[in-house]
Formats: sequence, C-alpha cells, structure tokens
Amino acid sequence: MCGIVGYTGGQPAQEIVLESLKKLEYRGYDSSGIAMHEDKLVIYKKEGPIENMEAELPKSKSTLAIAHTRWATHGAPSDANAHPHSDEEVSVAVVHNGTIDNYLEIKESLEAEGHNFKSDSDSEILPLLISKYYSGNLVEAVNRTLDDIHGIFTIAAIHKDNPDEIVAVRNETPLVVGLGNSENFVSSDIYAILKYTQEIVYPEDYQIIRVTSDTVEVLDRDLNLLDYTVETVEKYTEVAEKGGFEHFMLKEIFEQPKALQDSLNELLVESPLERLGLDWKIGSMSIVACGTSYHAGLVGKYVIEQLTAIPVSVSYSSEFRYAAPVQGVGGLLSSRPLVILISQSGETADTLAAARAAKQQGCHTIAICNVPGSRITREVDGVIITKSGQEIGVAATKTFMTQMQALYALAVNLAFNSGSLDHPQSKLWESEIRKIPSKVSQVLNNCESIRALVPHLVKSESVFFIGRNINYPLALEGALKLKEISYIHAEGYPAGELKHGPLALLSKDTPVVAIAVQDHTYSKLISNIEEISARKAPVITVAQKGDQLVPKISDHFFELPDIDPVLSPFPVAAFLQLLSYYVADELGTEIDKPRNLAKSVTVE
Amino acid sequence: MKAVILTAGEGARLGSWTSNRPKGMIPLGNRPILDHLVRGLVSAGITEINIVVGYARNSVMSYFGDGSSFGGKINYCFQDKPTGTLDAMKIGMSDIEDEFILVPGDNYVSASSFLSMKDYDGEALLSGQAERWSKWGEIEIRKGNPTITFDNPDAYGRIHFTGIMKLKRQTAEKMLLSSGRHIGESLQEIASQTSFEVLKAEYWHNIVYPWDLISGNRMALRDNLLFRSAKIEKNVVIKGEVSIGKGTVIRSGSYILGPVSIGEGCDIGPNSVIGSAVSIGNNVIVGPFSEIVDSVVMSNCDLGSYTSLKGSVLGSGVSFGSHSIAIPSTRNIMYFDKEFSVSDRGAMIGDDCIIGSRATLQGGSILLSGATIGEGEFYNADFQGDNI
Repeated sequence: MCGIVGYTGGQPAQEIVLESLKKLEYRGYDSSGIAMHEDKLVIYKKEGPIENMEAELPKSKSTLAIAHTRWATHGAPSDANAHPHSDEEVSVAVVHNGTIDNYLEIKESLEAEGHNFKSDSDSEILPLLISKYYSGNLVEAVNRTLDDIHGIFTIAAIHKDNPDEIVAVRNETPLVVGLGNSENFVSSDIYAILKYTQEIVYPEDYQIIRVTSDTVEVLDRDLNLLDYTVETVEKYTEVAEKGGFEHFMLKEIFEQPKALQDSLNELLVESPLERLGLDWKIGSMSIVACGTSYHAGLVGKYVIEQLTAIPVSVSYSSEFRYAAPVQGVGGLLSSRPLVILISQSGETADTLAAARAAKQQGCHTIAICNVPGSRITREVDGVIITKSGQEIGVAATKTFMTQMQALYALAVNLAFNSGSLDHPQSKLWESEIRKIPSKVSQVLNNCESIRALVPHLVKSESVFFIGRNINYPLALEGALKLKEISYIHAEGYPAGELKHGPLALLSKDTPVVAIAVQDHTYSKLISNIEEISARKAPVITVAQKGDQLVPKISDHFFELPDIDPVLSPFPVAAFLQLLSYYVADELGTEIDKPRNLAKSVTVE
Repeated sequence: MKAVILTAGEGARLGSWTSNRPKGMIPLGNRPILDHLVRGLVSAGITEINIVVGYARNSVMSYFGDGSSFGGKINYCFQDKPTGTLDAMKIGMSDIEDEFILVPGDNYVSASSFLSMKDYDGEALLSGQAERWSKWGEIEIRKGNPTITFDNPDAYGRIHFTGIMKLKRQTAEKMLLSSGRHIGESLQEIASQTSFEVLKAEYWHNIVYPWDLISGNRMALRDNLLFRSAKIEKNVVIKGEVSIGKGTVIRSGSYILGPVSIGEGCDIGPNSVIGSAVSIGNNVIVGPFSEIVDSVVMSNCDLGSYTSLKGSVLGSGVSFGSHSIAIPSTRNIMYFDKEFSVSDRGAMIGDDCIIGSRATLQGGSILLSGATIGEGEFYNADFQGDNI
C-alpha cells in the first residue's frame, strides 16, 4: 500500500518531505526511506516508523527529494527492503507503491545479465531497468521500463544527472501532483501536501509526469506533451496533530459530531437524486464495500429496505468483483440495477475493481467517499462526498458514521421519490437526521461510564457481540473494532444465531456485549440475553433510555440517549468505538497503527 | 508571553446547559465562550495558550485541536478533580517561567483588553463594570494599592474584578501558598503586598448565571464573524450585521435585523422576524410567523409556527411548540437560594426540553435540561428543579 512523496524547488527538501511523509504513514509503517541529491544521490532508509529513519538522518541542503513509507507485500520489513531502491552505481533512486506482477521473470533476466540484488523487494528491478535504459533522458528511460513491467504501481524516480527533476507515473494506485510557487510536489494523496499548495493535478494511468521546480509536464506513452487541468482543492485547516488527545483514534471519535454536522450540509441539498442521476425507478440495489465500510453498507440495507421496499444486497468488494453477473434482483432489464460503492479513501483496490465490474454489467454506480478527487470519484456515475476530514487512525470511526448518515439521507430521498414517504414524513425524517450529531455527543460525554466497563473485558481471550435487525451490523462492527485495535478475539453475531453454534463457546470467561433497542425484535433479544446469562457468561448490554428490564437481566449496562431505534446505530457505534478504544488503551496496544494493518488498502 | 485559560469546572449554576459540555463551550454570539477568548488572545499577539481542562475535556480538545486553525499554539493541562481555581492555575502554569496572563474561562471579554494587558509593563488586574455581583469580587483602591473585597454583593456600578490578570511567576507562587482554594481568596491575602495596576476592560461580561447568557450574547455579537452563504428567498429583508451559515434557507417575507448570527443548515420562516441581538445555532428550524428577539437559540432546536421569544435562552435540542411564548415580565426569582431581579428576561430553557404548543412561560422561568411543559400550560416556577 505504501505512501510516496517527492519535492523539488528552492528550499531544502528534507524537512518538507519528512513532514509530508508523516501524513502518509497511515498507508504503511513497516519501514521508510528518503533519497536526496548532494552532487550524487544519497539514500537513507530504516526499518520501523519514520522516526527511526529521521533519527539517523544528517541535515541536508538538497532541494530535491523523494521519500517512501512502506507496507510490506514482497519481502519482510527490513532496512534492505525499505525504499528508495537504487541501481548498483546509485545513479537512479526509485520509490514504488504497488506490486510488479512479472518481477520474478525480470529479476532472473537481470541476474543473468550480471546484476546483484540487494533486497527481496519486487521494486528493486525498477532502478535497474531505468538505469539500463538511461541515456541522458530519465523520461525516456522510465517510458521504456513501462514496456517491461506489468502490475499496479505508482513510481517516482530521480537521477544523479539532474538535481531538479522527478519523473513519476501511475497505474491503478494513487498519484497527485501539487503545483507550488517555484516548487512542485508529487504525492500519494492531497492531504500530505495541502499545507504547501491547493493547486492539484490528477494524472491518468500511464501518463508520464515530469516535475521540475518551475514546470510540470504531462506526457503520453509516445512522449507527446498533453494538456492538463489544474484543480483547486478546498483549503484544509484541520491539522494532523493530536491536540491534547492521547491517540488520533480518540480525537477522531470525538470529532464525529462535527463530521456529521459538516456532512449534513452536503446531504440535505435540493434535488439530491437528480445530482446523482438517480431520478428513475430503481428495481434493485447492491452495496459493495470492504471492512468497516461494509458494515455501514449493511446498516444501509436495513434502512433503505425499511423506507423504500427496494431489495438491497450487500457484498464484500473482493467477492462482488469475481462473482458471476446475475440479473438484478428486480429482474427487469428496464429497471437498471444500482450499485453503491463505499470507500473511505476512494482508492481501495477491490472496491475500484468492483465499480468497474458493475459498470461493465450496465449498472448505475454511485460512490460514497471521503476524499474528493480520489480515483473512485472519477469512475462512477454519481458521488456522495462525506465531510469527515482526514482520518489518520487506522481503525475507521468518523468515516463509518458519515457513511451511515449518507445512506440514511439517500434512503429518505429515494423513499420520497418513489412515493413510499409523503412530504411531511420525509420532513420528519430529515429533522430526525439533523438530531444525530447531538445524540452522538451525548454518548461521547458519557465516556467515563464506558471506560468503567473496561475491567469486564480486558482480561478476556474472547468476546462476543450480538444484535438484531439494524443493530446486527453494529455487532459486527463492534467486534471488528475490538479485534483490530486490542487484539482480543471478538466475533459479531445476529443474536438469534448464537444457539446455532457459538453458544458452545460461552462460559464465565467470555463476555457478551448485547445491543438491545426497543424495536420489533426487542423481546427476542431479551430472551437471547437470558439464554446467555443461563450459561454464566457476563452480559454487557447497551439499551435505550428508560429501559427498566435490561438492567435487571444484564451484569452491566450502558444507557443510550433517547432515540428512535432506527437511528440507534449512530449512538451505538460511538459506544462501541469508545469501548474498544478504552480496552486497547488499558492493554497498551499501538492503537493508531495496529500491527500488520494499513489504512488505505490499495492491494488486492 | 503565554496565557493560561481555566476551564476545568462544571459550572453548576449553568447546569441546565452543561450536561453535554463544559461551561466554556456554551455558545455566545454563536461561538463558544472559549472561542472568543482564544481568538481574542491570538489577535492580541498572545499565541501560546495553556488551557486547563477537566470536566467534559474532550469537547474542548476536539474543538480547538492544537490551536493552529485559530492561529495559536494550544497546550492542554489536566485538572482531574475539582480542587479549586488556585490549583487549576498551578496546573496551568507548570511550564511558565516568567509572566503570563491568567484567564478564567467564564468571562466574555473583548480582544482590546488582552492587548492592553500584554502591553502593560508590570503586573495588573483587569477590572470591569457589571450589572451584578462578580464572583471574583470587587476592587477597592486603598492607599494606592488595589484590594479585593466580597463585602458588597449588590455592588451595582462599582469596579469589579474580572478574574483576568497579568502575573509574574513569583507572585503566582505566593498565591499558591495562601490558605484558600480560590484565586479571589488568595488575591485578598496578597494584593496589599504586590503593586498591581488596575486596567479597565472595554467590554466584559461574567458568565455565571442563566441570565448572563442573554446579556453576554448581546455583547458577544459585537464581534460577529461576518459570513453569508445561505439561500435567501425573495422578499427577505436583512439589515445590519447578519451572518448566516452554509445550507441555511431564509424563506420569503422574513425580516432579519442585526446583529444576528445564524448557523448552518437552518430553516427560517416564511414570514418570521429575527433580531436584533439573536444567535441561532446549527440545524434550527424556526416555523412561519415567529418572532425572536434578544435571545440565544442553541443547535438542533425546533420552533413551531407563531412562536414568540424575547430575552430567552433555548438550550440544544429544545422543541418549542407552535403558538408558545416566552417573554419578559417584571418579578424577582429565587435561584440557588438567592433572590434576583430579572425584569428583562424571558425563559431560560435547558438542553433537550420539550415545550408543548400554546404554552406560556412567564418571564424569569428557568427549566432544567430535559424538562417537559405540556400543551397549553402556564409555567411560572422560578426555582430550578421545580419542573411543573
């Protein structure tokens, strides 16, 4: 997955590039490195977080630098496997994000030509090829290299002959170019360079980018100069600092009311469906996403089906994209199926591929995405942008909330459009949706009573989360949050399914977190809690305000603010996030950077 | 020079609005009290600010972050237990070597006062005029030296201490040695041994009681941040300094008289009158034919048609039924066992209250958060906790 950044301009590059690189650490944090130009190329790289590399870095006056932070795919995290890679003479330095599919083949032929490899990384073939094809022009050498390689990649290269030139190219993975004042940038995302410029170019696949202090050139594969558009992105004031909070995740949890508020203004616009190209009769719908976004999609299924009676199926992107094309659930070709894709980054490889598969099969595609200008927003028919701001903690929190909110708003609009909600009803729904930020705040302000539940979970080896109906996906999300940041094994289940297997695992040492809101499944959930208690497993229940029954039958309980059960996933999510956070904090795990994970999953 | 803002306390006397936030996060002029203080300090060139947080600290930290979007650098200090303002000062000044400005977070004060404190060469107390008793005491000048007294609780028109002062570290350390728990008490002990200058605040309002929110709001709207990005329908009249946030719709026939600040995502009118001196938070719905004057309406409130509000406060998430009114009447009320005259105040309604339609709230009524007033009821209780 990896993050890359490059700078050339009038100022010492090292400090600028390191600061930007730290904002890309969410893309990987196994190892990092930097290449600079000091008459010759110099490369520093180190296993571990960026601070490890920074600690060994002497001050440099170089005004050219490329840097990389890595999430290992080929070759374990080590100093040798860290980027930038170079050829034997260190004439070329390359950073690479992605995977080269045919690298073994190329490696063998390069070895046969007498080259020695210093690492296990697939990326090392790149500087060797570029250097082999180099005859005074780096653009030509990179272009020639592209003929040889297959795979997905963003590459940025510098050469010792030119202290003011970066050549970059992408295929499938992200690359943006930032235009400054006598300085220019390349980067994996806009957030890393927004401090310096808001003028952004988004290159297409296989366009070769040549960047110097004063120029940005975009070339096609025949090396003709192309016209390009410069987009001005909104100034981003929120900074990637923790501001008093111990972790980014906690900060982001507490930013949720603001994120919901900011996104609301995007959602409650006039004629939203026209803007999305959705003003036709929809026969069936699929929601496609990965990880936490998938759970938001599941919540969306319940609310859309309840309000519109349009059938909704929810799939993991990695499954959807390889599934056989079937006729939409609606069955009629005249009602074109709708596919909603959810990706925080807009770069998730599987979700992107799913979007393409859906388009190919003639579906109308809508993306829900948090990064304006990202890859997926350029490929689908309609886009809903959530305004969560940058999320740095690997465990998704505020983006989950705003994704759910977007689906609720969409459900209300679709229902009004199809006539299943009349005007007063849809206004009532709108005013309920407006109240969500304050309901979430109320849970957050109760954080101390959530923290008080920690001792009941922290020593467990395994925890179950159960819920029914619209809160079943929340049980899945609660389990995912807990396992990814605390490393405690956790499973989410529909409450009615426990007796079909998992009940066998319950004992006094396996606590169960139950979500019990007073919808039509309430009485069934109460019986499920009784079944669990009978097996001596401790039960922590989250219930609605004023619930008299739950405190009597649960070992511990948390009271939600007064809320309609259909809207309960929002405060429930806040509760589950804080619960996982405090457990992980007690265990002292690396909450913002869980082992083996990265935020933006651009490999398949 | 650095500043230390104290905002760890819960603010019991404003309890109807602090179940979801510390007192400093209550909005005046549509921005939290602390927002005014931080921006005021930064515009006076005091960019390094220590904020002492405790109760509901997360809402403060997520609002200000590291301070860079406010042009400053904010460092948070934690007061975990309510051990008094003196202890809060001790916690907040730990990294301060020389002099600093101490700002209790329950004040609205204009930026010019911070500038005059910063520019004054020496130690100083900031004074102000107030309608009512200030919890920080009164300043009397005897033999050239100021002293703090708490002897005249009804000291109308006298010089009050704002709690804001410029201190040297040595003086602060002396205060820490005194016997009391609060800054006012310790100042009483040491003021005579220290040569404080008394500076006068241009605009200052102590925010302690519910009615302070209304007059504080009037004052805070003086530095209304002007922006307008709403959808304004035909035949809307807007006069004076009016800011309106993104996504808000002002419907036809409405009349808005500044200073007024309206937040994001609101729906106002048609045919409603707003202002002057009104702050309306985010996502507020004001039904047709309503009149709101001299009031604070916090976020997520829902006002029906034909409502009338004057000199009132609506906490967040209040539902205020059609044809209901809250306007001033002349009487004295009891609050926390003391009698107050609040002749120019309507109702002060806590967060998440539900007021039925055709209800009448007599002037000076105070409602605890979450209270309910039934349809058509007349409410005149003047004592907190006495909800119906």
